Amino acid sequence: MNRDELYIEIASKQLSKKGEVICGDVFLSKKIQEENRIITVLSDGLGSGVRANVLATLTATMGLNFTIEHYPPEHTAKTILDTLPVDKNRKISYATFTIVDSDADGETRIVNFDNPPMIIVRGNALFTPEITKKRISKKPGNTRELYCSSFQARLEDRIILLSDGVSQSGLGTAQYPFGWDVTDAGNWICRILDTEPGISASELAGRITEHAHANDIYDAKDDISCIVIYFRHPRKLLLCTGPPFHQEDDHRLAMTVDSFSGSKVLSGGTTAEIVSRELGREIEVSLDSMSDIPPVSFMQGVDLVTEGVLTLGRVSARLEAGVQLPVKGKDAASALLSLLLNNDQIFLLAGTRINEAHQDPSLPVELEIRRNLVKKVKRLLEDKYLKEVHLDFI
Amino acid sequence: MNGQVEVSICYGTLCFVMGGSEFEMIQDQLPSDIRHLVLVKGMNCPGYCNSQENGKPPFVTINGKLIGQANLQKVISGIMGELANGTDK
Repeated sequence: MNRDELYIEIASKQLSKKGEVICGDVFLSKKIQEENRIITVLSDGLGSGVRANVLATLTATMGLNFTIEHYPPEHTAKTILDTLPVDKNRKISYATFTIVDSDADGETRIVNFDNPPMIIVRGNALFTPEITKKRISKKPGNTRELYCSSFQARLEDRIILLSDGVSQSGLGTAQYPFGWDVTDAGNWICRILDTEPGISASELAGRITEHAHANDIYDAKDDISCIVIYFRHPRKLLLCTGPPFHQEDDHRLAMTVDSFSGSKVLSGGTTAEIVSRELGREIEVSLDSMSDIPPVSFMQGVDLVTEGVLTLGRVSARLEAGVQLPVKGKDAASALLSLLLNNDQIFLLAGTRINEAHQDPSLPVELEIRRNLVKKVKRLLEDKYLKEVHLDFI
Repeated sequence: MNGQVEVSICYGTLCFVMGGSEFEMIQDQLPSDIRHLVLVKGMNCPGYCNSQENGKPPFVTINGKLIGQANLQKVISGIMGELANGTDK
């Protein structure tokens, strides 16, 4: 694997304006597998609450889809502004947006329309790429400006998008009479990165929104949104589940586990038994993590050992229902979920030997076929959690 | 074994769904005077369920002796038996 390979980690954190149930800022992100691009959009709808959310969703969806189709940004902006409904009170149709379009090699294009300028941090200092202004005219005499920039992102670069709820947080307070200026926010982020250079995108987004919330004295004056795009080395995880179809492959399975560089998980009693036998390592079962699924076990050199089908079934159900870091719970499924979400490239190695004892029709529960379960987990991780997943059968 | 009885519970898929999950609290079900003589451990699935001769899951071993279709009663009487053997010797 190429050492300079980039992984793009994207995370967002949002808080609604005080008194609103839903956020008027919308964040959308989509990975285009065939072209190896990731597009991220942040839109802030006029006002707050449901109406703002509808406007922002409309804007973000259009922004995302036009960008996927390589529409020129000024064309996208004009179409969006033409489409949005006119506000009854303010007599304008309006929503802001920022679109970040990154290729897998780091080539990044950013278009910003009326959102606070993005912050780019490179080597613990703020970096400003060249910005070109494009004019879009909705009506004669009413021109708006679109800020476009493009640059080559490097390893350890971070792009941070903020909604005006962040840049205007603390407005009118003694500390920030004119709000938390974007440059101030940028310097504050650099100070965080000084002490915690490897901080994850989700952690950083959380810290920024928390700070903005504190600036507003925990009484958010506007919707607060922060998106962090972090270019870094990918973190890799190998999940082996199920015994190989041919017994001759047992050794190959064990060697794959042994030589893999990254986190390793064995999910399945027989799988763990095979690796234990081939590598001569003991398995120790811990009864502490007992719940309604079997407990976790330990093996030297392996990050997690769990039971197979029941645990994966639970993982799949929780992925489907939606799960976020930090993962709650102490059982085996929570431990596995936490590892899955903390890694970017996930290699699934599924054994295809059928456990005949599982096929007994008198079993009190339905045991899913491992192959289907693994495919489902793969699909969920790719579509819902933007992970890069490779599935191999052995 | 210092007079202790070692109880290993299989936590394989099949044993777990067939009732193995109940045995976790087995220590609490024992008479208080023998509780300290019993060591309860988990065991990674050794594949007992693959051979019909072993009987049906859930499987528990008591001092290495295999018990098929285990339930609380069987396990407790197994432990009692082992303890009685231990004192006889």
